[in-house]
Amino acid sequence: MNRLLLIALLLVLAVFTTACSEDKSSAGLAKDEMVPASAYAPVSGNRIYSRPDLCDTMEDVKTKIPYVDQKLHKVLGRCNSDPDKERYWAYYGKRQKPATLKKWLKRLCKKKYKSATTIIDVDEKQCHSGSGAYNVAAVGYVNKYADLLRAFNKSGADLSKSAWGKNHYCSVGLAEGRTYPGLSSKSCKSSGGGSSSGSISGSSSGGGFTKTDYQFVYKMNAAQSKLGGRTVRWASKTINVSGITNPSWQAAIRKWPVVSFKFGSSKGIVFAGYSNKHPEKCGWAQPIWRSNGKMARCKITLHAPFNPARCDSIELVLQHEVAHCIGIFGHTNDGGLMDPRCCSSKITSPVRRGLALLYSLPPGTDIRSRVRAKTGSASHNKSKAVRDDLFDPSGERLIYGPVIATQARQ
Amino acid sequence: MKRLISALVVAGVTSLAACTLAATDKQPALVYMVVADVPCKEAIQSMTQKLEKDGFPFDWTDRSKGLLSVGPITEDLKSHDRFTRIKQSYRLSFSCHEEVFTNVANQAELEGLDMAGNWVAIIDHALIEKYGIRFLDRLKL
Repeated sequence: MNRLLLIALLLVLAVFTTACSEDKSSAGLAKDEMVPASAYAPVSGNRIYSRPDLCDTMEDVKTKIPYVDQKLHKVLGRCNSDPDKERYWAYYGKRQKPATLKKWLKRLCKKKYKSATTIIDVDEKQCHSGSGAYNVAAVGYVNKYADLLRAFNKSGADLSKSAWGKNHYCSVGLAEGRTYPGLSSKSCKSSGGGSSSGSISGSSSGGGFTKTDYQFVYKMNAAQSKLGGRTVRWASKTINVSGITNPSWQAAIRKWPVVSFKFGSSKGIVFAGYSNKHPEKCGWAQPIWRSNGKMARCKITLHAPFNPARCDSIELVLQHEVAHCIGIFGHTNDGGLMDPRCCSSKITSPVRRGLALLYSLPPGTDIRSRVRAKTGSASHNKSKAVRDDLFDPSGERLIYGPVIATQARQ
Repeated sequence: MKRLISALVVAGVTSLAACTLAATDKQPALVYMVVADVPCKEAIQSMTQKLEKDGFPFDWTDRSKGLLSVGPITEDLKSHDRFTRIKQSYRLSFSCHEEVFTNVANQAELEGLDMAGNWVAIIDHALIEKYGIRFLDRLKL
């Protein structure tokens, strides 16, 4: 009888244990631990790899803090002995510190597969990662080489690790003989942050950059920069804004993807107040930039008295003008917010993708070769040498010659 | 023969270095601005009106090409260790696109009055750029 009771008890315990381990992804994790998500590459629209749409919209219901400001953490890794070689494990959008998430992931690999863990990335900036395209191999490549990791950390993380890694591999690493599984010369043929091998093209706007994206950035930015087809943007993706304290105005400005805004700071984008000088207009912007392609400041003025019947809302006008301040030096004709006439609030896909591309490239990037098939012409190439003189990568070289006359002829 | 080649190389390098020095010695820096969402003609008119209002002398070097010279504008310098006054000249180049976008390129040139009473060309790029940006900033519409 006692034996039967003992067996029954053991059976019940076994059932409970199994159920419990199923709850924790069969890993026998402790109570406070969370189960990571598993994913495969390429996965489109997966928040594990890409810049989530939530970056632009989601607010914490209780705190009202936008997703971008919550400083959420992410850890992406792989269990070395996982029979499924294509599987990755990830914590993302978590408040726990990266060290805790790494510990959990390592424990999962150990318990589930009796395996060591390869941490591929910690805190790839999901809301600030520029293109949003995520290249696992490129991130692994940076992590593999200590000197690259140091250089990336030193770069101020202006680009995501994924984009930085791919840029480095294609421009230097490949020639130097550096390697990483999933990276090859083929990886460099695709544009943007993704690649043909091991890449996840899951940006909110749908993937790696196309020639159309480059043409958009060329038309709306580089062609207007007067720097010979080089891009103009703020040095950092966090842009200072001063003179705007109204929460609904701030919320409208925050709707722009790719970049984030620091309100209350001096310089940067400045709200210069109201003017009645141009009665036909709702508002205007005056971005100023340096010869190295870095934006210096931008003033926004609203027309007074503000006419809601003609201009809809101040929020909409501000949002439109801020786009000019962050590098959209032109208008669209697609029924969206950047059309010359108001009143759509929609940030259309070309604008979203264009901004993502612009801020995935360092300021002053020459993108003519990317658009040459369409825009390249004899006259374009003819003046190339002259216009190259206008660009000053270091921002320190003094420019000389009949620059003004040359520009007027362009 | 080897000596001749060496001499030629040395001479070439020396002249190139001299050329660079001469060029950077007096040449100005450029900064840029776009006025977005105001008709180009209106924007240019507003900016010249602003110059008039501020009492800055200006002259259309070539109106058809949109070339405008501003200055000299002279200001006292209180906290500079070398110069007591600064003379600023700006060459603006206007061009229009999409009717409501005005591109402005600003080429700044600075001279400083030193303690001996001589006007000396300023070649400090950061300072020239700072003045160039400040000047564009003043052209607020």
